[in-house]
Amino acid sequence: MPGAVGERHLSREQARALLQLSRALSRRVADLAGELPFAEPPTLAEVQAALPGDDLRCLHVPQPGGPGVGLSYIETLTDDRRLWDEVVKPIVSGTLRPEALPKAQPIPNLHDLVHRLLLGWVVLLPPAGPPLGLDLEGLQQRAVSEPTTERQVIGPKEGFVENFQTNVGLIRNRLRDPALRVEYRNVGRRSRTRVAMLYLADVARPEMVRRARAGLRSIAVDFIRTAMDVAELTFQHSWSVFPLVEQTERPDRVAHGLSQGRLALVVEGAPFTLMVPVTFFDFQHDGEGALPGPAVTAFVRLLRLSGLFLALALPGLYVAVLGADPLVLPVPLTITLAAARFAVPYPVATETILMMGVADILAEATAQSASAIGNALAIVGTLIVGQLMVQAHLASTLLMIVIAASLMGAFLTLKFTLSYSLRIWKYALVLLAAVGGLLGWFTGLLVMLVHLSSLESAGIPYLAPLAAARGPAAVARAVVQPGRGRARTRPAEYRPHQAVSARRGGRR
Amino acid sequence: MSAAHARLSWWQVLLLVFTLSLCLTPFDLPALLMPRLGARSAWWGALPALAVGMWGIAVASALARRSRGRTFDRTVLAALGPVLGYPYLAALVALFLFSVPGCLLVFGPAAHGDLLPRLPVAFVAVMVAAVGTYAARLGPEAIARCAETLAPLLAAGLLGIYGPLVALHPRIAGLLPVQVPTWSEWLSPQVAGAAGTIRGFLPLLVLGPLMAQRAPAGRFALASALAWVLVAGALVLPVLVFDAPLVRQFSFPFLAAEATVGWHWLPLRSLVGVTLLVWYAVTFLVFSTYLWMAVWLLRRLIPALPRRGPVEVLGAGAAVVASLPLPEATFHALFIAWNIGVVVLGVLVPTGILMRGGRSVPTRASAGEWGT
Repeated sequence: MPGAVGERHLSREQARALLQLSRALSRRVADLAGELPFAEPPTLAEVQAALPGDDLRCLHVPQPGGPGVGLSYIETLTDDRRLWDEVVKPIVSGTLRPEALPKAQPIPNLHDLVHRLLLGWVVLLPPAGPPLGLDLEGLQQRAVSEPTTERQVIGPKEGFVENFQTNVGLIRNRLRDPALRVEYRNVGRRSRTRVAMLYLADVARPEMVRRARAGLRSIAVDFIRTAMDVAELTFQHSWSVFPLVEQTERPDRVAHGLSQGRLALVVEGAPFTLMVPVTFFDFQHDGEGALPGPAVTAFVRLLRLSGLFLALALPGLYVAVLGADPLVLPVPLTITLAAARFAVPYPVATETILMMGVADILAEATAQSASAIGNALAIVGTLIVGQLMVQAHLASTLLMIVIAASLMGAFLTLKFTLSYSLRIWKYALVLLAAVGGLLGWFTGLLVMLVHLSSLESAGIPYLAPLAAARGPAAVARAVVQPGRGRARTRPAEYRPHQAVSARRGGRR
Repeated sequence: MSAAHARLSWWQVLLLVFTLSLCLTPFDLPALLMPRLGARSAWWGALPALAVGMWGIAVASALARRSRGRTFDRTVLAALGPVLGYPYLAALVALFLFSVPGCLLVFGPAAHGDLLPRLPVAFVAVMVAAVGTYAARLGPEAIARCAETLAPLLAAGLLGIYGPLVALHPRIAGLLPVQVPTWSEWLSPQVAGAAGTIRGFLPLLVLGPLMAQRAPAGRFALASALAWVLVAGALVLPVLVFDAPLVRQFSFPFLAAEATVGWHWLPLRSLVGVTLLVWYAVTFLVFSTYLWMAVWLLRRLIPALPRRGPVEVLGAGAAVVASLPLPEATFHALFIAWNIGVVVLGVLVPTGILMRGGRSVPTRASAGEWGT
């Protein structure tokens, strides 16, 4: 018999479920016990039992004229030199009592004690009173350096690093506003990754802040690997390939976004900071801070929007016009285009999909390789493979131009995540163009438009400011940015709590 | 999409209505009914239709203002009572359901014409129905956002293409791979008719209460009326000035333009092709809005209707109906019937509703009532 309770017999499944339930309850009871305040000071043995591991150091430090102090830390996370200079030496020499150590914080329970040890803190166990924690994190960190994915010719050169506190500090340093709120939270049951939520209390939409808090609270995974994990679990509840959260490496961009009413999430260990809400057009507005005047900004935006069209629609249009509906063009132009691919033995759609595949493989290989190898790959791809395919009549020169323009357009959008989305939709448009010609191509564009219309980022329409616009001026802002002296209001698309940004002669 | 976000701004509604109006055709009724009286009379006949349209806008706006916060069906039932109200709502549903494949019936043959002969009408119908059904499934907010995004893009595209061609024709013609029409061809009534196909007032009636939940009706009515008058004026004025004899053929202005100019004049095809894509976008918007409105009203009348399924079934049904071969005479008869239905259900009955029940005390309605 699998199991029996009193007079009643349980099936194997019931017994297993009961066992799992009892284990879960035991774990919960143990967790709760860990969260109870210390009834009496814990011993080194209890600390060792709570966090077993070879890198956990538990020492007894003698104290002149006293019983000595227990000391516990994880040697791989803690700065040994500071530990010796700031803690051990003063205690051993009798110049300082543990309670008088600067920055020492009392630790209320065992749960908190273990958490601080895992952060690289040193825990002191004095003979009387609660344990004391001291932040002596000593893990080697990369220095602040230039962003690798968001370089700009003119403008700040500093980028985020993997250090959580450094990243928060970089933002604080650019936004010295007392209204800037920083809320810490740990996510990931096992990784216990620190996440900082930053927003301007008087500008950010309260509903957005509430949703972000709830989203962070709802994260129920063991491990947070990258910032994108937090983004997807908090905001991107959609199968869409379009990014609903912006990732940026640049503190100046985050600070500017916060000042406009957006919200940022700094994730421990990630050199990218997340920002919401984000609109489809935000991805085209990067690096505008250093551009001189609205005319130049508008010109750059139009260039980028043209790049977006090239990246997304040009290969499909090529297939639609040349493969299905050549009569749409004037006859001389049609003849010229047809002559350019006279020797290619297969249909224009096959040729295009083949070349797009080759180009995307090369682009991905270039992006994933070290810079020196990447450059070599790019040269090999563009010069040798393309040239050889044309010479072998596997592709036409015209298509090579189309593919090159499309790839350049994709990289003009600046953000990696969006360029991936565009590249995926590009294939769909080519397939639809092959089936339905111009109408098929346009159907694909409309489907994409409907899909984009259904998306929201932190409650804001993804197609803002065109969608849900508050009048023609808001629509125009998609391309024309008001001059620096005229930008009296924050962008309406983020629905900021405080719409007016500044007035002449004072801050509001 | 959450209920909290299922509200439309006045700007959204304006653009929706503006775009929807592009395809509705009260002008065609006099044009179809009065060809024997001559071209000029047919156009003069369009002026009363314009007046009727304006009246429709005014009624819809007044209804929306007076029944703020109350859903459309409740306004109707409160004003007409259940005996008259339910048949009217049922007739309106029938008109919407009739209009859904109607959009495809108008657009399909145009796309299948000489310009894109490779595409069967059924294929065009399936494509438009698929994308329209997808939008209708997502609801009015998504449709409105599509309209808002498309409107400035299409306007900029058309102005960017047609504007310079017209204004700088001799100078830039040589720079482009197309030959542009001459001045007289540009100003022919056929091309003017093709460019100015804007009419309709029925959507105003149904979208009115939608708008009333968040926008001032007066502003909306003024903007709609202005847009309507501007484009209708652009349609009528060239004809009044040029008095073209070909106007008697005018059943569908776009097709007429193609028939008289485009088919025998190859360089115009690229421009007509662009216009055709614009028309496609408008047809998709109209199709999805009619489909959504039909299902929404059906749900109000039959609460037991399942949440999922009706939109998809009706969308697919519309594609099938539009794929069936339809004689020209039957099509014209149906078209006239549709126009009459629009006038009766969209203007006359709402006028009665306004007179009988428009002054009743409004009640609060949740925004979710307008969700799908």
